[in-house]
Amino acid sequence: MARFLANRLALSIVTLFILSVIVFAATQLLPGDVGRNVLGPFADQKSVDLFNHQVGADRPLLVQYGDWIWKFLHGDMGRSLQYQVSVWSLLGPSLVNSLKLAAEAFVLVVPLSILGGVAAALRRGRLADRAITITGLSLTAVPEFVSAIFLIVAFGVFLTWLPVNAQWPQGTGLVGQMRYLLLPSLALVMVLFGYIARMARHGTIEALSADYTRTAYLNGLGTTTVIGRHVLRNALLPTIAVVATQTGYLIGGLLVIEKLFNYNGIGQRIYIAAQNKDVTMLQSGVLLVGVVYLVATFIADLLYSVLNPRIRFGSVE
Amino acid sequence: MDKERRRRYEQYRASVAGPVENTLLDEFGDGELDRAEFLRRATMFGLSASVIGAALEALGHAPLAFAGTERGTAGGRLRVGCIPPPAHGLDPHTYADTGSLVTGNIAGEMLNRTTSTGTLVPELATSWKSNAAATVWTYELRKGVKFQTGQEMTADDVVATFKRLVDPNSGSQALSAYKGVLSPAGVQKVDKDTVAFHLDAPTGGFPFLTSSTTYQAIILPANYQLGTFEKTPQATGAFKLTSYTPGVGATYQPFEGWWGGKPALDGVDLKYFSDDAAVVSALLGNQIDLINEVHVATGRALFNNPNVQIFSAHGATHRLVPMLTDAPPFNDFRVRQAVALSLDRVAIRKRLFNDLADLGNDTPFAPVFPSGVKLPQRHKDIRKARQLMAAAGKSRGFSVDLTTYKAFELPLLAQIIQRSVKEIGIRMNLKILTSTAYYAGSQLGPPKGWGTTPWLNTPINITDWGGRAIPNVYLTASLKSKGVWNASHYSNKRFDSLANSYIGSVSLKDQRKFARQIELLLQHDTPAIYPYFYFQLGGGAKRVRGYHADPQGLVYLSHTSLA
Amino acid sequence: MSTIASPAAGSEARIARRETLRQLLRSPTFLTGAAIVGFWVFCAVFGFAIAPHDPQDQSFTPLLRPGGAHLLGTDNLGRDVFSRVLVGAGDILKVAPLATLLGIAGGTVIGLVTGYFRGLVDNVISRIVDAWLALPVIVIAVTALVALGASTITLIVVIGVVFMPIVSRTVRAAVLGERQLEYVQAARLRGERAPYAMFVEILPNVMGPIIVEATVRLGYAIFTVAGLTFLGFGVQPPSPDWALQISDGYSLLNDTAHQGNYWIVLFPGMAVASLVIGVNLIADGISRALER
Repeated sequence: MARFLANRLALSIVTLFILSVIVFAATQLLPGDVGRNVLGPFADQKSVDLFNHQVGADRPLLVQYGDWIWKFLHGDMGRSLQYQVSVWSLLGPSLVNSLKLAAEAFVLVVPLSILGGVAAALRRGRLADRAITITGLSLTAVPEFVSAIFLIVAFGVFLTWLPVNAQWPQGTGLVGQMRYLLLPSLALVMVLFGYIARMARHGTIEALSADYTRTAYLNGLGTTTVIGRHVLRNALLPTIAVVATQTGYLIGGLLVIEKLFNYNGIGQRIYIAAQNKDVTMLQSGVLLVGVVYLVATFIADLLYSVLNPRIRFGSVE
Repeated sequence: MDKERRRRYEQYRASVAGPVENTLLDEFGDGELDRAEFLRRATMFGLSASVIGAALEALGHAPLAFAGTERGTAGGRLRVGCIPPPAHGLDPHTYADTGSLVTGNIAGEMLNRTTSTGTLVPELATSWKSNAAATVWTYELRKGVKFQTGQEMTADDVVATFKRLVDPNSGSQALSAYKGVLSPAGVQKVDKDTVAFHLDAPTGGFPFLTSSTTYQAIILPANYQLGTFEKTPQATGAFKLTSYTPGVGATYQPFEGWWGGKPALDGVDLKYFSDDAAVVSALLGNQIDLINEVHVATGRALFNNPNVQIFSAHGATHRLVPMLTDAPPFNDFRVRQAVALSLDRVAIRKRLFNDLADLGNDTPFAPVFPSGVKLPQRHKDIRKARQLMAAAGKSRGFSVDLTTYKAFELPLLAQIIQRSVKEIGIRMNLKILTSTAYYAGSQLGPPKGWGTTPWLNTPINITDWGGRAIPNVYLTASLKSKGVWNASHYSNKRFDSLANSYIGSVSLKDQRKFARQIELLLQHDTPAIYPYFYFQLGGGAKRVRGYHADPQGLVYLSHTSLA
Repeated sequence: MSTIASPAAGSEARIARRETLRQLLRSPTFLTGAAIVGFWVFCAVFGFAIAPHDPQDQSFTPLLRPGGAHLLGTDNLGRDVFSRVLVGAGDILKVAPLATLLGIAGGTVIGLVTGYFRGLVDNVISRIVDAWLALPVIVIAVTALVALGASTITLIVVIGVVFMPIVSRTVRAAVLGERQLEYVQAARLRGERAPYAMFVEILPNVMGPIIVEATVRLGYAIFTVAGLTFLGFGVQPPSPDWALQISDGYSLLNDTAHQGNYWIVLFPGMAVASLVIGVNLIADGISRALER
């Protein structure tokens, strides 16, 4: 176990290092310079040069990278080139916001889709199965920006039941925050439902036909007990994998959702940083998403092994 | 008019008024200006309210009614949606984008302020006047003004603020406005309450350049430290900036020591948006009370909603469609004229602005500038356009790229232009870039050339231009041979000398004389198309009181209240 | 995932393929999907001929409700929405399949190499692939498109490259399954060169998973192109592309007094969804046929 953990950790660090190099290389391809982007087209070239010099964007690339990675390793993400404040003071709250939105989306979608998946599996081939499968497939096929737009217009503008902007006013309690996050979460539920339900259905069907289920029935256990004890666990397994792989998308990939709901998540921060060539912000933001993703997959692996006794810690394959 | 008033008026004309003021009063008397134009110019030259009132009365106009500030009864906090968020730090002299100028100007004040009708009102200065040549302008400062730090405002603070604004090494974004007008040495303290500006060249419209038109000109303490604006409240306005989170929002509290008394609002919550539809939905969903800027193309829902009021200010904000005059296919003026004649401007205005815009006539003299002359409006004329194309040897048309970027109605306008020129055989490909890519690259300015940036170096493009109170920058920067933003690469010696004559003239008569020649020349050469000048629009809930749109897009809340 | 057993002799393989094809043609899932996709391909090719109006004609009254002369209404520039929806698949059906093809080709090569050689090569490349996978696709794509500028070519290349590591994972897993099999070992013993072993011996036997992956990727590619177009980095105006129609029109949707002008967004949105559903059904059908 310890060896497995150490191995995983070492690989993760290598991965993060490569990630930082990729991101740094990519940022160097971005057009323009931060001074021009920030000060705008009508700024004097002189003040643009001055700005670039002040923020250190005119130093040699390797110096900029070395400086950034050195500070990052010491827990300092540096200062945002465009806002001139510490990167962490902006990314931290955005990351928390992203995690909140992802959490609410999962809280809604996981029970719903597992229920749907198991129900479909138990009525395999019948109408309920078809209905659930086709609904899931259709919802997944609607681009998130389309579903988000219609949710906003229907519930926020026409019915005015729910807030159209996900960013809550200061001092809103946790329950109030969840209300503000309901519409964007629903948009994500629509994207993820079909996907997870399908996995759960698949897992359940496999479990239902497996030897140990038959043995359990033969041992005289009731249907509810069998499903609760054996089948649900199997339905959960693929779900965990999905949750882990979708974490990266849910934390950093919601540019469109965050824009439409005016939500200050980490996706928006990265998007704006890329547009304005705010290199320190972009690098730290992307790396942070990478860290979250790796942590999520790591936890998923652990959970997987706990829930599935057949898998033992072995080589990292 | 009562005798006493007339006597004071005559006395003013005889002893106090200089040639500048007298020329203006004569021109008004001769009927060269209408009432609105007279008011604009009279406030610009710093004529006092009593003199303006007397002049109006003497000529049989309705007396001057200064709009009393309608104050609501209740306070409350005003929730303002601001689009887009500031792009960088909040040092006032560096403001270049809507987000930062809105954020800073809720807290800050200038020497004087341009109103939604284009007149000037005193703010931190109580009066201003020029010498006969319009080269020296003297401002009397308001007494008893306190900064939010508690210290009193004096001439030293004003001088320090303006020296920073015109210092080429300070990173000031106001440099272009003051280029050729004011240098650091020209900013001089006369006494504790008086400041004089010694200009590099005569400039009749100078008072506009110290007003909210130059939204960087927020007066700050002489000991202002760069980078502290968002941390310590230290402006003079009715509201103190108490918290600021980049990309998210800002909050403001009333400033007890404000010279204007106590503002009606209990505070302001500013919230940033980056999506037009999101900010409009927020107002419709009652999550905000006011939007700094709305566009008909993206905010249609607000314009026919009974619960929403639209604030409007005439301005000179416009889209410019420059064509490269030094390279084929637009190096022939007939081709450029043909493109201009292919556009149905009336239909464009209706479609994109629901008529909330003035028609452009391919000169920078927007209808709001009294110094301009109204030439016959250019309309769609395909027959003539085809003739011009044929005369230029281009009757079979050609292919060309139209470059612009994704913002506001620009992609829509690009598609309309593309469709319009198809009728005269021009096959236009659209290149819609991101704003970053569109403005990326060098723009060194002559004599080094216009660099590589797409917005100054593409055959034909669409660029958004901010409003100005006087058209000088449009003439010098975008049209003169050595202009830094001359996206047409237009070079015409006669135009250059006409532009210089126009800017140097003080009387409206002279300005109009040169303006007319400039306009005729530009219509003939058509280095660029000015399709429209649109109104600066804001939107708000019905309960917002005492708010006016600002021609530069500022949000001024000192006299705003909630019902 | 791979259920394909040891390599069959040439004729057996042909029989198996024919059997798969027969199953496909009997699968309602596959046929429905093929019909939907076929419909949009047909419209993309012949749409300009069958559309009632020129999709670029701006001469109609803007924002007309559906019905009458304009079946699906008109947009804010006065263009016929029905005609634009009909031909709106053109660009996405060019970009998405080509990007998928590029991603599959590149991913297959990476997957074959890492799966076949293992050891250091595998370790190094797999770490890079891991790093790549840690990033949301849209973030990489937006950053790259900001850098390179949006055009059809860059769009295809960027999406293709973004897909490569994802594809390589699947291919690698399939190759690992094959690598231990006798025929590969035998080829090794015969002294076959590595490229020959990879592309001639192994590749035909992992084609099943690759084809399934390709159809799944195609669905994602359509999604990605639409998302990027919505953000302004994908297909450019004045293309009648669906996502572009939505991007241009969604800000009109909150106009409560005018039924939200819903037709400008709803119909292109449904069109995108139907295309993705069609592709997903095809993917489903193929993977089931191959599993049998």
